[in-house]
Amino acid sequence: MKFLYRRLQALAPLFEKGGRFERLYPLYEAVVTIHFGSSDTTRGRVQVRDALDTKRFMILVIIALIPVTLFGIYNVGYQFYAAIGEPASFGSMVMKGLTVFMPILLTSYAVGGFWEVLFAVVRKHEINEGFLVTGLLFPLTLPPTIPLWQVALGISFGIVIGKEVFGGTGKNFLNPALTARAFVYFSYPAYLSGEVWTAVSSSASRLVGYTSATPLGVAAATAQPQAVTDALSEAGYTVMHCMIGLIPGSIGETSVLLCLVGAAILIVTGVASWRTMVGSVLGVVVTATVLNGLVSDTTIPFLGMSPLWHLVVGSFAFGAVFMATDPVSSPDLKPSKWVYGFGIGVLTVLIRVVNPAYPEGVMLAILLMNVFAPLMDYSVAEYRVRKRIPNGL
Amino acid sequence: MKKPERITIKKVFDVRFKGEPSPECRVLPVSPRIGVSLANLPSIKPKLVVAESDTVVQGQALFYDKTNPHVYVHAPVSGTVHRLVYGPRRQLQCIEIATNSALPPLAFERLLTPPTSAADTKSALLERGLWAYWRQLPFNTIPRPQDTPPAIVVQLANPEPFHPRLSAVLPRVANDITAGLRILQTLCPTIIVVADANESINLDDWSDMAQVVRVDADFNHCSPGAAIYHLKDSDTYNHAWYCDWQFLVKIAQTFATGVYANQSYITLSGYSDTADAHYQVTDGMDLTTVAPPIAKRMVWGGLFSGIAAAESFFLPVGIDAVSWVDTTETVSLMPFLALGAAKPSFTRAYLGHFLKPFTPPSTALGGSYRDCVSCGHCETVCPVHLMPQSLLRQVNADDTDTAIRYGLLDCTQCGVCTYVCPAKIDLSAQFTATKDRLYNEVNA
Ligand code: SF4
Ligand code: SF4
Repeated sequence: MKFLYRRLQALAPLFEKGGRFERLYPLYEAVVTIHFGSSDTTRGRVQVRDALDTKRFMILVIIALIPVTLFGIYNVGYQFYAAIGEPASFGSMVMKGLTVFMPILLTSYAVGGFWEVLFAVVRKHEINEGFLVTGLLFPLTLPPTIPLWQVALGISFGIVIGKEVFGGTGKNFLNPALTARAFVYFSYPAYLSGEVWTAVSSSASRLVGYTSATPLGVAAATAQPQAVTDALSEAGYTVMHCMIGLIPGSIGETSVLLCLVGAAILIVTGVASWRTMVGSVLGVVVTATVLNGLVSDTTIPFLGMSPLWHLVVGSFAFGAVFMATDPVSSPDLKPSKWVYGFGIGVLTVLIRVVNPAYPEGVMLAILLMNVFAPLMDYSVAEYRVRKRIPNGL
Repeated sequence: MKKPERITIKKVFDVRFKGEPSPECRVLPVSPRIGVSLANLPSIKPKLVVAESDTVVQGQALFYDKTNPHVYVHAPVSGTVHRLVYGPRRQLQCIEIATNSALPPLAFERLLTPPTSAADTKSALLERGLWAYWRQLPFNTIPRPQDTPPAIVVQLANPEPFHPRLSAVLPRVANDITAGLRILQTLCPTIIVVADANESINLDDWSDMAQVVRVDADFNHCSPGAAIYHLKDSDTYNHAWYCDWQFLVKIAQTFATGVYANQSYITLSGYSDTADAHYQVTDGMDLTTVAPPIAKRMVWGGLFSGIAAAESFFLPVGIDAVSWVDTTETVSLMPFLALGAAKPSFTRAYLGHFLKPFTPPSTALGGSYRDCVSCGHCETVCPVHLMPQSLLRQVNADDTDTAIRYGLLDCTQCGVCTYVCPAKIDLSAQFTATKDRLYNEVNA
């Protein structure tokens, strides 16, 4: 291993200033540091530094995503066999899931990586490991039926428009994975709504009276005088189902329980803000409770969906844990994180209920709050600054 | 000024380092050659009053500050000016003197009681070459003698790791500190003595002479700047003067004996188990006589705000800690996947955060340079409640007006924000550079 490291180090002059492959330095830097970490030493007056770096940061997010990813792969296979009504072993479900998920993931990484490297080389900066997270988050929000060309388009949009045009990771104000997802959603709505959540090929004629509507779809489609809860239980959904997640839905978003595992990892390691997560849960609970109070005979039944159901259906858990907490696109200051999280919760429920054409409100809610994050920080900062005893020239 | 007996700075930063020097205090003989190094006198524009091969005696003026023509720096020993060392752009870096103990020191008038007025004290300090040890907030420059300090902060502890502990030498210096405080009282009615709440020293003797404050905080957080920030109730204190206990000892001894006091207490750390201790040394001593160069980085001052010593081995004026920091490169496969039980980490991302291991300091950057990822750690540790990530943006955008409004000048340049930044941004260096630039603009 030391040998390999020395060999890599020996190549450095080729990539450094004046070397033959100077332009490819970002690629070289990425290869070396991904394998061996950085060998740089401190300059300036601070002689010692913390062991934490951005790679650790990103890797912890990926570790937190592993449970939902593995479960997602299994669930894709599970839903497939359930839909075609064939019994199957655990192994074949996982295999089926892998054959569906891996091409999506690889497309996302390959295309996303291409843009990342291109921009790094042209702009002459290091490759940011953030795309490793974006490249995984995005596929997890997609339905298993998504065509690969849409994955490629989506991730390109997310990285180029969502991030690089603003100057790259750290300067973007929208979450790139969500930007990608929103692009696909609005450009090709047919692929992301309706009965697309189970990976059955269109020629599958074996479908036997199986509905693949998601709980959120069921809830949104409920008509008076039926109550949402009844409609959901009629469709075979209980809160427990949604917690565990063996239901149709986006690949990585169905299991609330495993999102909570991810949340625990992120909170314990201090990578994501618990304030944002708790804030968004509060937002959902408060808004849903208020809306429940407005229910009458003339309102749509969706209005009466209980806070608990709002929390467990759709992508809320996934969004609040993994998307809303992206440090770059969320606000910096602790008080604004509360407001930001709360806002996401409120908007999620409002978008769901008021506009059932978009039954999934989380994505839009987060993107919208991303836009307001700088304003929240600004207000909090100004408030704090006013309380300081001035120290001028 | 607020009057608490204790302030707790809640922003905790509690990474622990291995290598605390032993409390034993050894006395070192004067080295054959000493050097008056300006490395720690950044705001001085020196004008020499001696030349190479001149004979000088202990207490004789060597150079003065062109911007403050009454501020002289004096020779700590008698001997011959051996060499003048210049740096880039012909800037004076060091005056080397070949020691000759046979020459008697310059005799000043002995002042057995403190001068009676501020003006007398000032001229006594100036005459004896002791002024350059003063510092003034917010730019950490040497104050102008004609100004009146709104308050004086006396630091009894430098809470960065491995600095001299007053408790290690207290019996030798307690009376001098008392005498020094008496002298300071003539300059200003508001004297604040800042002690480390975690160090057990009896402060009762000084509590009628000054406002004694124990600061409960970690590392650099009990600096004069942080103390003033937490104590001030008006902006007049922004320009407080400060000094450390060693300065009090120096002025008390010089006043009482009439001989320029040339002894200081320093610590060596990270050199070897046997050498790491407290030392009483002659100012400007040649450190190679006790610690010949080794394959480590030699640092003047603290781990968080020190200067990596290049070639010179003469103890610079005003430096009281010398550390050697490990520079060996450790190669491991995908270090960011490790559990990191032994890694020093402020954040919970490594197990080291919970186990709090004592790790030897190392110069490893621990990552690669990136853009700010808005993790907020810098804000969590700042002792003066700044928002370093916002300040950084303002400073980068050259918006110094907003940066000042956001508290840039309160920044104590403690370096802790730089330490914790996962994107390895040297925030404190940027703030220091901006402050220096502002100082030069204002004083141009
Ligand atoms: S901004 Fe950084 S260097 Fe300045 S006081 Fe705060 S933590 Fe220390
Ligand atoms: S610690 Fe570094 S990366 Fe984190 S917010 Fe501060 S400047 Fe940005």
